[in-house]
Amino acid sequence: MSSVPISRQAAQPPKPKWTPRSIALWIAVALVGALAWGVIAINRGEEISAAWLIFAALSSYAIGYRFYARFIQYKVLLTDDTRATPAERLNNGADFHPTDRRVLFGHHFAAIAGAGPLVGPVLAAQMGYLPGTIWIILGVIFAGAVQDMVVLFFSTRRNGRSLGQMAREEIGPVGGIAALVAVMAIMVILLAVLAMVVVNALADSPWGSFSLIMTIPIALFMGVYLRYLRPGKVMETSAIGVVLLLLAIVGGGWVAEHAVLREVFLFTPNELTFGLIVYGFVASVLPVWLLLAPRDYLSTFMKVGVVVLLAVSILVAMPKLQLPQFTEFAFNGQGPVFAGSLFPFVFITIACGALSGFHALISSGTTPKLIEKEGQVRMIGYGSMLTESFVAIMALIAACIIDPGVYFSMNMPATALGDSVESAAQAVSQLGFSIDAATLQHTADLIEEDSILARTGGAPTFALGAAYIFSEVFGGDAMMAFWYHFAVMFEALFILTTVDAGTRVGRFMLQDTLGNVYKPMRDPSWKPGAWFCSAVIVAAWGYFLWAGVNDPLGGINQLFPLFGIANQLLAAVALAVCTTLLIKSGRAKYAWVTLVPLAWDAVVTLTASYQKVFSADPKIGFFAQRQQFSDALANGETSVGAIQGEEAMRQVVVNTTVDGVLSALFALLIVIILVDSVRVWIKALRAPDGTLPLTEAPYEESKIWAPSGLVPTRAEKEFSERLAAVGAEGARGTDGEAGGGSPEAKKE
Amino acid sequence: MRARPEFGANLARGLREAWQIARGVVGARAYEIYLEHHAREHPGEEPMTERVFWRHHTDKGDTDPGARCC
Repeated sequence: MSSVPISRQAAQPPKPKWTPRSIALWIAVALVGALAWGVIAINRGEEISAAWLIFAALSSYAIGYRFYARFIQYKVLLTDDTRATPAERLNNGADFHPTDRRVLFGHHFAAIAGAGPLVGPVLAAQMGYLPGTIWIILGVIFAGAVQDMVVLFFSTRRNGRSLGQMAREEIGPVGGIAALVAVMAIMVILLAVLAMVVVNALADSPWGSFSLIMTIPIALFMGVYLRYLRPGKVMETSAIGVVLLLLAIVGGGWVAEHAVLREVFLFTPNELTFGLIVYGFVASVLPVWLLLAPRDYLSTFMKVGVVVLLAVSILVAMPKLQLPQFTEFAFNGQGPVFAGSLFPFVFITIACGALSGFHALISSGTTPKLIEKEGQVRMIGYGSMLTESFVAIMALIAACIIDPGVYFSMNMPATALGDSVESAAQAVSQLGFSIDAATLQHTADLIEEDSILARTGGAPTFALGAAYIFSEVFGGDAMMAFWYHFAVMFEALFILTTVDAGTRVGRFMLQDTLGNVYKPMRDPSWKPGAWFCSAVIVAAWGYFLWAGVNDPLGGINQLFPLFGIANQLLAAVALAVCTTLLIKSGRAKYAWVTLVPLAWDAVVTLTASYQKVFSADPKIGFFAQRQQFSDALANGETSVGAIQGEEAMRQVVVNTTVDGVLSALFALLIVIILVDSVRVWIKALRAPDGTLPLTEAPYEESKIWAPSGLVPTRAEKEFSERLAAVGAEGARGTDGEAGGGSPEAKKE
Repeated sequence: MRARPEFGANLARGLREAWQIARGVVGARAYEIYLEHHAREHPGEEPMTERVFWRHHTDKGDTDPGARCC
């Protein structure tokens, strides 16, 4: 325990030198941003180019990074590059070791970005492109990236403590338990929702199912290859894996044409559900080297590759946005994709990409143990999150360049569309987005699928949009089917990795908790315990997956808001911990930096939970919906709206009860955390300066040096050359073990 | 203006650096990092062979899943 007065730790912020050139540059960035925002906001009715969204995003990110994040770094956090980070002090050559900032940036980005930012924006597109764009860009600048950066900083000061530990130590046991419950809950709902995305994308699609199933033998092969044939040759193995993956996609096209194989790989939603549950269990108890490790390598490769490919393709293809700025669903709350109006539901639906509580687990786990310099929290924490936000913008673009009629046909629940392209075209046209049956069939033919109707969950829509963009640049219409299945596979690949890894994370948490009652449970290598806990976690998400897939009202429609609320609940925990730490460490005057996003997050999440629990509109409120269906059952009716049959109605009653109780539970947790934090804030504000204990690791002087930003500044370059001349440590700030001791640094 | 040969050398160095960064991101440098650490902290002792190291390195995942996001 120590509490060093802030003044002594304060680093000397480098004084920005305003040259006429840099002033001109920033004025230009601001002008481009203003122009782009003007075009996307003021435009009336005409189709605009997606490039404007890209320009608005990039210039806003640049300004946010250069001015706001810099302010947070030097005025609020007071990062101190003379202070040794845990990576330097506790260096063990494994989980603690100073890592080159560019490597860590890639690492951190690959850990935070998954399927999430690709799904939320697609669903939110039902309200038009503007609400999503504004929230993704402003949300990340003022909330999401701030959260990631501040959590990363505080965890770095605490030897890489986890969010849960910080909540317990800084707020108290109640906050700590609430954080633990939040993490567990979000994990279960997240896995169920993501698995449902896969089910909806692959059901009745032999092509998609074949290529995804092939990823399993490919990963097994890579695992064996890395273990026995070429240990450590990660790049080589991943390259082989990617080639095999592309062959699997090409092979899928052949399978889909083949009379017999076609039937073999044609699965119903329930078959896929069962398959995923079995896969989740088996994968999570197999040794890591066999399946998870190679899958991770493959996912990282694909993730970075596709993000770059998509960005380049959008800039080359410059597609036009077909969806309007706003649809009426933004205001009337009657959207068919998910119910509820713009406020609060856009902010719940788009979590990853704007503000995602889940990131706090990464920012307080692996990354703080690897960071070389405190000053790099801006580049790694804030910068990675900006990149994820950019991925979300690209996903939004992919959804908005599709014909709105096609978009709604893909994203409405099957019960609302009927079972033919004619009935679907009619249902969608009634919403005000005219579309004819022939166009729907033509789109399905183009991607060589039997049907595109009710392919909810975001992945197929994103894949279709991405396929339009890719095929514009590479291959034209002939390549549409390939690119569609490429994008589907790319998302499903991450999701399967997340299902495996997430089940493991949940299992370890459960084992740790049960270990308090029964000691052997805590030992992760004790097989019965591991198997039992894995089974419990799989059963938990498997239940929600099964219930969602069979939900007559559409599982995504019902479960996605719950996932968003859970994710924002975790963000509330993270921001509450940050605010508490700012106040406790005597920075109360800057506490608004995390307090404002916290307040916003709390308002959004509580309003959403309130509506989900208490709304009298059965489309929004779970309990109102429950009432509607149970009344109908009591009156002996056999249908409500498009829902036919008593069994379906009973299913709705059960699902709405579970979902409603969960919404209420999440709201309760947020209130508990807020009340508990406010208690600590008041105590801290009343205490004389510096008397409240902080859990910061004591100051130790750093012996290494490294630049802070992506590209070293001129001053940093000169400094590094001077260091090199005297042969000091860390002169080059290169990869891996930063420090002159590395043979690599000496070689060059 | 710089002379051509220097440009080529710079380009080669840049590419080498980019390659090392990419290897770092996917985690392919773990053994090198271990060797550097071992040489510094335990000079004179025999380090693990590449094969044994990777086995240990990967198997750590069985007891520590790490964190991953959506």
